[in-house]
Amino acid sequence: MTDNALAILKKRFADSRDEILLSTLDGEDFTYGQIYANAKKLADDWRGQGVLKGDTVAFVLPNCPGYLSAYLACAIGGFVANPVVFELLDESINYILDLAQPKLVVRDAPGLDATLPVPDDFSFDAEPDKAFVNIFSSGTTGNPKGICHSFGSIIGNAGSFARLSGMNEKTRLYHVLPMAYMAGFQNTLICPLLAGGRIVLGPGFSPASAIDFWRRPIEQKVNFLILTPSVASALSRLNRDPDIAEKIADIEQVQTTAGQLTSGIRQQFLETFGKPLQDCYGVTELGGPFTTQSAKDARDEDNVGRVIPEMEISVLSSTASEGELWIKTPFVMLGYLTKQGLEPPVLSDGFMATGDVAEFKGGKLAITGRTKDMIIKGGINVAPIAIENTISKIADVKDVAVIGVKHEFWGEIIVACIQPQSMDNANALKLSVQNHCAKNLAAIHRPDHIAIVEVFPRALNGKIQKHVLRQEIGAKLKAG
Amino acid sequence: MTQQITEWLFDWFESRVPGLELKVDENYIDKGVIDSFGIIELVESIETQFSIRLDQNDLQSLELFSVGGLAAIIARKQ
Repeated sequence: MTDNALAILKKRFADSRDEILLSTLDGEDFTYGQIYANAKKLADDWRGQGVLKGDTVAFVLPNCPGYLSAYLACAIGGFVANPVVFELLDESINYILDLAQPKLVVRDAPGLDATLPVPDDFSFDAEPDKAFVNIFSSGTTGNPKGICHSFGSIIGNAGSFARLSGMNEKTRLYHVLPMAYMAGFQNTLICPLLAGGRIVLGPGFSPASAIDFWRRPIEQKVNFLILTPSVASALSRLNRDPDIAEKIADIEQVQTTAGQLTSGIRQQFLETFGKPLQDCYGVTELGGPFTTQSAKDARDEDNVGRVIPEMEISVLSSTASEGELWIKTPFVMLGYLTKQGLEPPVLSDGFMATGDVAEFKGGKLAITGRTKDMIIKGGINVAPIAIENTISKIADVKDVAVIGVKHEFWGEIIVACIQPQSMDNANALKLSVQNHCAKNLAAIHRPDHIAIVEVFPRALNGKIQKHVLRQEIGAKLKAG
Repeated sequence: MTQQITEWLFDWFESRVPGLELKVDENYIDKGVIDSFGIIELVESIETQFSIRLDQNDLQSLELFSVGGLAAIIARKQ
């Protein structure tokens, strides 16, 4: 299932050699052959700098057209790609680089040259069962965790998900997600590539780009969008064009990934744009995305849809209808990156726990909760412990608990619950916590709200009961 | 009237970022004062406060990104 990954990729480049693979923001189009030629040149350049097969190459880059050729250069050279989220603080970037031990760190965006000769043969030195990419995500310890996948699992999972999603040679996918994360790599670069489609690059999503979001997809005749629920919500709420549904009628599918899609966001998007949001679900450790809804189901069903055929689902029932979701897949990661090497996944009869609570009925999966203490804000995993460690260094803080509270736009927001040494200076402490977080945490990790707590609810063993806090603080925030 | 609108806008930003130093013609997006959710809240707050509806041209205007520009848009709509 993963052994033929090389043949699949070679065939795709051979079959689509003269078709357009990438349209850049500068208005340039690059064919499959041209992208391969640029990736080959990059691989040769890196070899010239001493990078050998099996070595790791780290990219500390913002989204750019050369990102795809950098990933492909690793497939061509048999290197391990190690994307690093550009917006992280230096401390986190250095932690990742220290763990990954790259032979080379790429900090300048690779350019693309349309005049390079396209070779007759498309060869790749990557081996199906060897490490191909390390994707970093927030770990439960607070430090980023490196999830290492083989070339076979990435290509195998992407091909299967592309088929489930109905991607094909006519697909024109609009790319606005960060390319260092799984969704910006697997769903939006590798899937359309394997399907023979075209990737139209958009600007990274921002307040400014949100307002003028639709111009480029319309001009470029995009027919496939992949958004996060937060981006979908922003687009609905900022739309002021009464004719927008008609203008984007050619868009066939709008998938959402990396975050909880609420009924409210679904409904508002459908009313505004006349398009249902097709929810997807995936787990980086299990190869990335592996479920999606059909456009028809997405109109009236609150689930994440059908599963790729290679996956086996097991819901360990804690109640009559739902339980913890376990998955068995041939596309499971090789392991977590550690200083001592790869730590293999913990499997039970081949199944891995996802940490999510789910229902599986009629071949469709619905995610109903989470067992892990992890916040997912706007599709980004945020580990509470890293924020708690930072805030606990403030002298006037007696104790702190960071929780995720449901939020219409972000899915969850980060709430830091603080117990002060003295309630007399509670308001001053709020400001001091805000300033401390602004200096010491990346923007995405800063608390959205700071709640002062006189006494924490605790279990008999003294552990703070976060589920009680989530209910109490959630109710207070909802009440305004 | 524009003065009152400007004050309301500065109060709105101050409520989001206590101690913020923002000039009337400064681009609050470039300064990183609010994120994509913040701009939605700002637009919706303005529409509620001043009983107006910002249209597509307003949202695509560079005026949207400074307090002075916003005040001018709101004043024209009233």
